[in-house]
Amino acid sequence: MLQAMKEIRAIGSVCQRITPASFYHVSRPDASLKTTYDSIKDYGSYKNNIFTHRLPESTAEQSPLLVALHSRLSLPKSYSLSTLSQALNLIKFEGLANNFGLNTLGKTLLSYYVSENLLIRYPRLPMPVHNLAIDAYMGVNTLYDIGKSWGIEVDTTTKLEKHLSQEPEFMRYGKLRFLDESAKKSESKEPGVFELTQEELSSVKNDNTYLSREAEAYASAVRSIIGGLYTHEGEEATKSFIHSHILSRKLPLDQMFQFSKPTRELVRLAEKLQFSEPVEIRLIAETGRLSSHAMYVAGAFCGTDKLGEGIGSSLQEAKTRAVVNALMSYYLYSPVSQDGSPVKLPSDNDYKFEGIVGGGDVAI
Amino acid sequence: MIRGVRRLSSKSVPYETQPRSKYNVRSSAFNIKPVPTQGLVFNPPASMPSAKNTPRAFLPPSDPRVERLREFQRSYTPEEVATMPLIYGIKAEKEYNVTPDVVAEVRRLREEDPAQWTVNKLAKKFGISRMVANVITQESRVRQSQISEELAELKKSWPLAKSQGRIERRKRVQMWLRNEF
Repeated sequence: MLQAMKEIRAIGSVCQRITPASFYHVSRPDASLKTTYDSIKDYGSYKNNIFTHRLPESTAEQSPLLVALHSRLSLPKSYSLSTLSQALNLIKFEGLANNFGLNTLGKTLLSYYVSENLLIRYPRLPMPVHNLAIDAYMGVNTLYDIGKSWGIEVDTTTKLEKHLSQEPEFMRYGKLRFLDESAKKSESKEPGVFELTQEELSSVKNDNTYLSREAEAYASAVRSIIGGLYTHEGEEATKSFIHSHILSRKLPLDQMFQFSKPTRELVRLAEKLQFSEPVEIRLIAETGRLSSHAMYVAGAFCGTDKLGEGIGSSLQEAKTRAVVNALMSYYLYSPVSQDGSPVKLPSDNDYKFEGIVGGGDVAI
Repeated sequence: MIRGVRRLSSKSVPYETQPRSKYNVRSSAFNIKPVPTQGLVFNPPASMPSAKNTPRAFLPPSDPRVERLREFQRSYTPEEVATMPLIYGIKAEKEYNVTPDVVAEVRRLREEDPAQWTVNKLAKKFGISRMVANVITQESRVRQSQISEELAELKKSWPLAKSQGRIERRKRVQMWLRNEF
């Protein structure tokens, strides 16, 4: 796997030079949707004339993969199998409705519930850590993993192969469809080596990381399934689905920090919080300078209040760790309600604002 | 037959931070002979300070933990704090004692001969902190590149173990800053 990743990076870095620089970003309508309108400013009159139809429920019911996915996710009965099949379809031109709308809906719902959770539960997170946390909950790579763990399969065989193996057509309605016929044919020559499409090459970033089309397709399918749940069951069900599948994942926030000048940051923070006394780092205990492995315990104090404590094999280490501990205990503050339970979220019933609004980052 | 279970409330379990010694704890600190206490004792292991427990100073006044944790959170007296040696401290009041004359003089000396008038020497001469001297003299690209060239030359003569050791040291410092062990 690692080898494969290296190969991809190598191919990406070589081909990056020949790909054109990204175009100036101007939003323009997708011509392939054959959009018509009465007046360009009358957004209500916009209509896509591309022919699509929804999969009949009777056809969807015959796909074992769809039925299995439906029951595996314990989706409600009202969630039709045709919607589930639509959520797995990213192809625009085959006549079947694709998941574009469901994806947008699912993404909006996800970002609302995830950011609500983070902003209320961890109001003091610095902006970079907050963004990382959002990405860890609902980034493409995370949703890719979730989609795979849900057992979604990719439709990789061509029409000819399906015909030769006498595969029933219902099978493909339960698979993730994002590859067109030409992409399916270009099988990699060697295992672990992937040929990137022009589209994928343009998404290779400066640090040589890129998101494969497969990862993006899986993420889009997961978001669409959430969007589909909203259309069939409404907000309550979607919220509990997101809480049980996305927000239940363990997020190691305490491992997401990297300070550059922690002492300066703590001093600035104390100024911002208008502490009456200056920050001091004091030596609480030590094993003795001449002991075989000297250890020091330092504490960050503000007057008689201890803000943080750190242990280290040198004074400098103990000091830095004490300061980092103090800063992290500030940033990772999570409010509790009067009875000690976690505070309610704005989307909860009879919500009343408890907790705090974060004071923003400090400049160092 | 069900045997009687001795009922213990968690409050009756004695809290022992360290085992009791047979000899006097203070005068025979070098010669510990632990005497096991009969029954159950509560002896929590020494643990790393966790960032999950927000210190009182960082709790907003509306937080219920301010009152609830009053008796559990360790508080220090000013005398106790004073006994701990200071590693780093800043003055409560900031000093603004650098005059424009001093600034001009520091800059002049520095520009004249940066090799002789290092930031350290300037700070000592004018009785200002090194950081202030650094801010006044500002960064000189020429001097910086000169020093880094000298350092690069010096590093060439370092044995492998030394240069490797420096790399490892830098990595360790990054671990402190990420709160990793």
